[in-house]
Amino acid sequence: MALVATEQSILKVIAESGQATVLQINRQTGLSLGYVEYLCSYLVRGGYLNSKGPGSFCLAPKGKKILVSIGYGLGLDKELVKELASQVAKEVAKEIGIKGGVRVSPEKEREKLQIKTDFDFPVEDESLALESNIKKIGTRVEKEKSDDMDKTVRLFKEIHKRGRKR
Amino acid sequence: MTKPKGGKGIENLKGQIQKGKGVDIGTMFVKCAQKESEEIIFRSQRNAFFEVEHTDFTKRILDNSKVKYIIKEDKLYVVGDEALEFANMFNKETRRPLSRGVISPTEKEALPMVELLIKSVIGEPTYKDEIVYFSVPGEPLDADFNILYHIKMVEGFLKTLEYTPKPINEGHAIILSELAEEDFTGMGISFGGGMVNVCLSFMSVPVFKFSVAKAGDWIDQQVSMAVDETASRVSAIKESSLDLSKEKGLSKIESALSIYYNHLIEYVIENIKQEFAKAHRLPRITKPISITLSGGTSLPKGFANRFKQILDQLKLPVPVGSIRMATQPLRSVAKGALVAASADESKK
Repeated sequence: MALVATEQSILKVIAESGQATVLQINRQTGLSLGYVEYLCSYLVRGGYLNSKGPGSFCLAPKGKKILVSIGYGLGLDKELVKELASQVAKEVAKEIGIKGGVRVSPEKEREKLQIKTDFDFPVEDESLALESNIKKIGTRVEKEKSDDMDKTVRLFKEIHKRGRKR
Repeated sequence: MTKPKGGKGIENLKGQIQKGKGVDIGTMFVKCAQKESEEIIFRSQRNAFFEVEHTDFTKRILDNSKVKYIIKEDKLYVVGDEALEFANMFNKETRRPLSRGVISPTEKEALPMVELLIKSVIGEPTYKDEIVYFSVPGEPLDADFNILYHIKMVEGFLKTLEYTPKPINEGHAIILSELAEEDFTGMGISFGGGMVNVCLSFMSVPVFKFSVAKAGDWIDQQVSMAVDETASRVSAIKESSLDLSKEKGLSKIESALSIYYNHLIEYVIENIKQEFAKAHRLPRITKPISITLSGGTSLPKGFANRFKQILDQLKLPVPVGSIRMATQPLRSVAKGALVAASADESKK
């Protein structure tokens, strides 16, 4: 599961000192003590942090991996790395004679596959086996004026047509 | 059921019922919208049930008190809002046919229950093959399941009722209902019970849509663990009295709810930012985009303001214009589905 910015900022604070207490994290992030406690226990449960005694935490391998994946603590410019990697890839492609740059990996090719057939089947009405007084009592009914409904439908038809063309 | 071949006969038979229906199949409610004369009629059922002892006496009491129930073999289930009241009375949890926006894989009574609830709100088609748009969640980003089985089951069931069913993304339906003045360009976010659904649309065409499996139920479960209450009780407090603009004098449950609301909103915004980063050819949107918030979890007072505050801190990669609640947060999905159905019907 992806971590949100607040959770990442806690990992960063801990990474800076190797180990940090709830109070240290609270001071550095400005988050309330209660919230820091909650997030740390969530991160421990998720395997991102290890507990080092009461209220003290250090990074678990999964937490370190997350920081690396967002380019934290490597001392490298992520964009520069991307650019260099792209240049190297182009040169390698030239050497081995692939047109248009990098060869698409089999996984990527697989992602592009689309299922074109449809499986249409009748679903049995299992509710027929139930006895109920719902029909007798009825449903909750609410009403609202539909002043602008026809206008909305017309507008939708027009705009949808234009939107599809673009 | 009368099934005339043309539309004219229907007008005479049923007054001014217009063709096409929109159904919101949510984790908490099933709601159907239909236009009659100058009004939109919404019929709804709460998607929850609770097992009680099956005796003739209980059944009679429920009948006399007009409490909805369902009997399957030797089991008696209270259905709808009353299921929640019963659950609170017995300090237990309700059972739900839908979980995380789709037919629950673990609830053995899910399918017949969902079918009965859908049938009770949608009724029979005005004529054979009437178009009905039903809401479906987007593919979840953070959960390992897909929505195909759910779509196919609902679609197949609606066909047995002689409708022509078409799925519509929940976030997209909100845009059709709420963003006509912006040419259906903007973002619709539905904070539901089982999922949060997000759709960015440009001139009514979805640019990206997705869902996350943290939503209202997740808040209830987290708060219930944090303060040792049942999730049903937490949900009842959340729906009846939570005020997110209140900063002082909060009860233990209210404080926990406030913390988890913050967490959920931040989680959703971070996922939206990631989708913007992943999107390849974004259309050139010249004006700041409007965001409409909807769904049962967005109902507490102060929700839109809380969303704005967090968005101000986290920022999206595109300029944002107005952030507002849907005019009727519990009806906008069904209404948007009805707009799509009416547009399709008028093409026939």
